[in-house]
Amino acid sequence: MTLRVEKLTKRFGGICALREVDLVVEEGRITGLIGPNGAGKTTLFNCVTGIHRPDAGRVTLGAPAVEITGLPAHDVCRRGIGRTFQNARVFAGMSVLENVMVGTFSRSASGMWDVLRRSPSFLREEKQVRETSRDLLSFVGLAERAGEMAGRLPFGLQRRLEIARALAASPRLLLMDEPAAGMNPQEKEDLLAIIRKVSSAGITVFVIEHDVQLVMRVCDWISVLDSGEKISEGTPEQVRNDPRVIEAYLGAREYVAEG
Amino acid sequence: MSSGDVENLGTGRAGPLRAGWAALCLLLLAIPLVDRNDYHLDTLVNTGIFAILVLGLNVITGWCGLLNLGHSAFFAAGAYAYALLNARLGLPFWVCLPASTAAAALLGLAIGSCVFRLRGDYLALVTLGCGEIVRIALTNLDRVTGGPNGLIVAHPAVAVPWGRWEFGIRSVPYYYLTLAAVWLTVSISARLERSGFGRAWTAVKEDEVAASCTGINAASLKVLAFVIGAAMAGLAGWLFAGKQGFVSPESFDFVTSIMVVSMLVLGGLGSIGGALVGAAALTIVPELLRPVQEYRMFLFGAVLIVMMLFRPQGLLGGVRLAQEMRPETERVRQEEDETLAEDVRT
Amino acid sequence: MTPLEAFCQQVINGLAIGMIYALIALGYTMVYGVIQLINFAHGEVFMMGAFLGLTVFGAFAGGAWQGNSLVLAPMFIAGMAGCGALGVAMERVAYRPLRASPRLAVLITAIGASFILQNLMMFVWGPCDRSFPGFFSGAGLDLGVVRVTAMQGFIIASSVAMMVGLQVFVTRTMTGKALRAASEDMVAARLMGINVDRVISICFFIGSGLGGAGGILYGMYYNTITFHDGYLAGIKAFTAAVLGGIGSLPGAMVGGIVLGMGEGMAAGYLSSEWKNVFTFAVLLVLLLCWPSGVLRKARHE
Repeated sequence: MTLRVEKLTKRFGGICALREVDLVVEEGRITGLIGPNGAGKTTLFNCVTGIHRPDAGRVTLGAPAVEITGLPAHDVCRRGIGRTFQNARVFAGMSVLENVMVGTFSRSASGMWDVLRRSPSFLREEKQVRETSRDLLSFVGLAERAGEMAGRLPFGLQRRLEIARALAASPRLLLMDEPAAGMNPQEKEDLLAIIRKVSSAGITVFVIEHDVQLVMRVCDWISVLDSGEKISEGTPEQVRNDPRVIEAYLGAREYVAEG
Repeated sequence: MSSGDVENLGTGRAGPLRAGWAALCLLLLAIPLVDRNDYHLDTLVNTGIFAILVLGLNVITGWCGLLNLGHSAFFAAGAYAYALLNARLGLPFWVCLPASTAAAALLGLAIGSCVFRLRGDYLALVTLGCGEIVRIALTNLDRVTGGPNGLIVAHPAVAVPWGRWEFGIRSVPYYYLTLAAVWLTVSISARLERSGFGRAWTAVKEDEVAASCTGINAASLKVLAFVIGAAMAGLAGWLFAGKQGFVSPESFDFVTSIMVVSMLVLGGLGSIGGALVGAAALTIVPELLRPVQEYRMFLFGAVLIVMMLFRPQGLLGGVRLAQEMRPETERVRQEEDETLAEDVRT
Repeated sequence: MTPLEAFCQQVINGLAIGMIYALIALGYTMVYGVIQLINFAHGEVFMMGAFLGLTVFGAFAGGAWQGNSLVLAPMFIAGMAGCGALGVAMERVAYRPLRASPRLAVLITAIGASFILQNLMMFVWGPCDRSFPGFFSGAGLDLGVVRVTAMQGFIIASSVAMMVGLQVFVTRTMTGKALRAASEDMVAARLMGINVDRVISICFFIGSGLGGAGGILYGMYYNTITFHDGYLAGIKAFTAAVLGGIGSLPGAMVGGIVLGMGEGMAAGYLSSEWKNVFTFAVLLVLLLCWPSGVLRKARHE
């Protein structure tokens, strides 16, 4: 599902976190969002997913384009956008399986009355939800840990759980905020595989990442933000050689050259 | 706890647990057959009424994480709905049940709609304020509510072939009525807990922002929690009024609200079994301590402090809650929320 | 009495009671400022001050000190020191162990503490109303439209003195500055080498001590005290603290005065039964609409 951001602006007090950012996340591609610290990447995600309300600009989804600017977070999710967070915010007090099951709540058809009388349709739906959730856990490689308490999982696995949970809401666009942060090289490989799997499943992926190498490997298209403005975009090759990008990173030159 | 058990917490009751509940039901059904002491049965009825109150508070505070310090307002709504319909309009006990639950549910809707935006401690205070305003209003609007003296209401009665059988004064029938009501409330709670709603409430409690991003409308879920918790309290109020034969504002004060909170905290926030245990413990123990009954406030206060210091998940709270009450989880969440609020670093 | 005179009299009455609320409100706001806890038990601490003062008075009563205002000195010392110690003890026993726990856990503990204290007062001093001695035997000052009794004057003057003292402490002394630093940013304060535990204890000591002083003034003003008065007065003072901006010392002072005067007006012009509803209604409106306080500039967010 295509995401279009037009002239998005967001201010916090006196500071302009996003300044008229234009960007397009094309359907079917894996798009990356990179930039130095403070560039406004997470703010962009927050504006798209409804956690912040932008001060100016538009966000539209899909074709034909539907405007979602300023909608609350739960509405944005229902329109088909899922997201993971920098800090892997899983529901620590619930089991791994329950975390994923919660992701399906917004799509559930059972009302209060069905629940209270345990109607056949409710029981069927519960069974379906459980199966779908198990499938998603297998998808991210967490099937054996379904019964464990989510808060006790190692951090890297909590990240994967978050992905499964986000997928449970049947998104057509998945926003991932620094999914590789704090991971060792093996975990990053596994993550890469998951991202590719998600994309092959027909879900458009939009990733914020600091690990420029990772981004260069997995993304088809990259946008670059610096101090709230988009300074470049293009294929990994184009972005890598863009002098503005190199300058913005100042000192990350060795990563860009090597990758 | 093995992983299988944890899964069963959310998805289904394990065999032994089910057997345990069945045994408890049989035991409770059998009590009046062996013990006809009015005082004992009366105490058990009170326990049952409070159990329903605690189960209602459990939905709001235990599952959804909203500390409600004004639960006695919902209790009062149920009791006074019956009182007004009966004393002013002469409607019989049974007919008033829907009215009691509906009145309380409406009040829950009203209060829930006011507070869902608030943060934990402020929310608690607003509910406290609402509870007090309701009590003061009941005391002062004496032409309607009978003021501090309250209203006299009829005990429940059933039409029988040889006339009317007023059984509210008799302990045994009222015991079974209360038992039925408790059983109903427990069933409703259990079904809610093991549904999408139960999971969604827990998600909202754990991390509202993350829950919103999975499509959960946190605001409406919070209000829903209030409505359901209040409706249960309304049921308790209806039972209470029928048993007492009168209602007055002093039964619905802040101390009562805190009593219910203490029972929930003792039994375990979020646990249905815990709600029953808490209600039983804190109704029966003060009865045993009758000579020093004025010091019941001391007991409730001590329960709150001791539980928070040594076992915040309550007696039956179990793994789920212990994990949640861990300090690191809350701190990480707060940090992230602060990052979102003043997001200029990324 | 002409309406103008009546109004002015209400203002003076409101000012006196407002000062008392301000003293209690300072306790709430100081604690909230450092550890973000609504110290539910503070209302009971305040009441404890009144009872301690009463006991000290009883120790001196009968004999040479009868009717002598100098007995106020030991009363105040006992009340303030006693309450201060109580506050510090509460913090150590009930709040410090939970410092890293979710906030709701500490709030529940505070409620428990408040219940225990209330019951303790009932146990020690009995459930009935106790009469509190009056002072200054009705002497007063006629200022044309109003009459200010010596008692009211004493209340206002001593409250102002304490508030000024607090302000000086907080701005001029090292400890006071440490206190302000800890309220701003606990982590940074710790990194600067400030002994945060000690600062928090001092905060509780001062806040509770001021509450204790407020309790004695309260007793003097109303002449009767009961073990459950603390609850209501506590809520009112907390409302005052929120009104002025929770965490702000000048805010608590102003909030207390405004609330006191507002309550006086409500009692005078509406009815005394509904005056408590006035307070609760103000509290609700504040928490729902202006949680950071009406008088405080909204921080950028």
